Amino acid sequence: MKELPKWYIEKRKRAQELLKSAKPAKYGPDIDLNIFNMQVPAHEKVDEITELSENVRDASRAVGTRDDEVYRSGTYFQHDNDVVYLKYTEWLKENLPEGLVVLNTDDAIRTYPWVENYWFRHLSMGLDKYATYVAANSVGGAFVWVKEGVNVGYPLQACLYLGTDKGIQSPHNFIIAEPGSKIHIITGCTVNPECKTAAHVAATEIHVKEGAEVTLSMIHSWGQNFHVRPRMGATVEKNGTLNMNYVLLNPVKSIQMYPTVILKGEGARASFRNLILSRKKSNIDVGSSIIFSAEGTRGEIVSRAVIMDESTIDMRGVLKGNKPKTHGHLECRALLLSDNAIARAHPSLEGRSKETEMTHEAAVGKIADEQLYYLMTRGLSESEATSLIVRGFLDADIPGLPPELQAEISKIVSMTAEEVM
Amino acid sequence: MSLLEIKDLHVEVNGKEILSGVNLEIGKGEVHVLLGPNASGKTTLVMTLIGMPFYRVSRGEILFNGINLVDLSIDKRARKGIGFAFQFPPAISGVKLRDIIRLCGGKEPWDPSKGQEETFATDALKKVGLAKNFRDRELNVGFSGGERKRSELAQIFAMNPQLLVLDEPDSGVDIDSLKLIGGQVDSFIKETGGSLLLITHHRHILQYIDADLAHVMCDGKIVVSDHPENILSKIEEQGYCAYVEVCPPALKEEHKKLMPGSEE
Repeated sequence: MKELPKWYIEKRKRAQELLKSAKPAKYGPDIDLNIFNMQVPAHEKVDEITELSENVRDASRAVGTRDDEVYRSGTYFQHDNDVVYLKYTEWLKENLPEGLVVLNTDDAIRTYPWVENYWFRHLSMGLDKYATYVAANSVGGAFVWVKEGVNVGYPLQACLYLGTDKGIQSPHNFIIAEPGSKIHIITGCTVNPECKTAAHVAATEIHVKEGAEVTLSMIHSWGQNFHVRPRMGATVEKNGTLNMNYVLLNPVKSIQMYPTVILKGEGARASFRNLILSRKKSNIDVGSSIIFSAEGTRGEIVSRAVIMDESTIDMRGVLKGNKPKTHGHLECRALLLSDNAIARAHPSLEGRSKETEMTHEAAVGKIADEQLYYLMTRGLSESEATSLIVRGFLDADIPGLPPELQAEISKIVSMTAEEVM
Repeated sequence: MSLLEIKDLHVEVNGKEILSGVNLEIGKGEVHVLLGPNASGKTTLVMTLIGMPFYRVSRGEILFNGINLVDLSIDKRARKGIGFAFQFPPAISGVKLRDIIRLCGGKEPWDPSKGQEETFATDALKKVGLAKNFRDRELNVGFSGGERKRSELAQIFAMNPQLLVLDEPDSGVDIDSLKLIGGQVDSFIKETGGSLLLITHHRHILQYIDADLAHVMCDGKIVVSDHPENILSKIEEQGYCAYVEVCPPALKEEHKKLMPGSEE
């Protein structure tokens, strides 16, 4: 195996130094990462996805990973810190043999010297201790590189499975879309149901070049004692598009994330769709931020959450219109189903040009009586009507999502709604 | 036995009496029209009939097939055979119209992953003149006034109720929609032998529906019941003032609305 390049070894060293005095994140409870074990068991590679254990595959299916690999261009599967399966589908090999490169990030760093120009360029490694932790200690992660002008017809699926009690998973992911390319990546993050507590600390850097389009759909399913801290940063160049869809339906101990997109080139676009079902004692703090740094850029953040039990959720949305002819819209709706839960919406708009237009609408409240009574006049009981409304609330169509994934998400929403109502 | 028998019904909203002793009997297969000026109690009567909270029955009974509905929840009344079409139905995002129509018909929501063609909701929509793509539309989201009325009918027809209660199905719809709505309601009644209680302000819809009896509500009471033609001509001539002892100016305004050719 090739050695790690010098730049990387040096930067890692610096990050390890920084980590000693790294600051907590601005939001979310502070987690002592030292209680988690970096030394997780190694997992062997498999030749076929079907060779993975039944439990692992069941968990991955629930977050949108197809083990038949139909309608997919490839699969990246990480178990704890090992990439156990990485393959392009026959369809991709036949149609776009050189178009898409997917590697374990550690291998990409060994293979391509230019990765240095992307490493912690879209995200500051001094952002907070979690970002610094990844810079200092990351293992693995999916490195996705789409070549110029290549339209990857089917989504690439990436599943990150966390299976070791008290373990910590710390991948560093990259998505680099060359000019005019197009890709949809479906990431499912899930855990071993028998694993009591663990942490997932990740960094994801996305670079959408001129005229490229990246859609990233993340489906998360954690355990009740899991701490999750993904750090994400993205840059979108001229006329590029980045769509980020986030779905979280299962309880978690705490999750805090705040992806930030910089629309750097004229006409660039970004959209966020967050669908969250906040249950049990989950502490969820999910934000999204779009910075409009070039003329004619547009962006939208739409968040919907259903809050139950004793959970707490903070939904942050930040739009910064720095340049003329920029348009941003923020929509945040939370449906509160419990008196013991707390929902907070924190919309923030900033304008630095008189020709920017940033708008928002936010609502936190219970199900409207008129909707409930209306459905009851159709013969549905109160709980049937509630369940239907909640399902509908979370099941709003996500533009740009392939219908089969939309159907899968609908199915997950449906199953979860049935289970919790 | 009548299908619906409302006896000496007194209803309060926020402690204020709105209905003061309503009596109404609807037999199987009968079509009744409820007329009356604004704030006379028409909406309160139907809201109480379908079981909306906040409408407190302080005295009287509502018998449906001989069973008193007063203590039953909205959904139980619906399942007993009352189909109510709202004048202003709410929009519910994410809930597909096809799924509601199917639930109304006692069927499971549609599972597209099975790869079959949906027929139940499709047929129901076709009947009320709504295009196939309405199947996948979210309930009342972005629907025009006329589309809402049609979607209401598609839903309650699917319930196959014994009593249809329509709250101004003719308000805010164009002449083509009116014809279609009226025609469909009339054939539903004739085909199923169901009964109808229709609230309206206009005679136009009665061109398409054969009504047996009309009632005029004023001040929380039914003040007169007669053949619809007799009542309508009298109202058109004299306004609702014909049925009250002292006619307040508001009623004179109402009269104008009822004049032939007038629009809302």
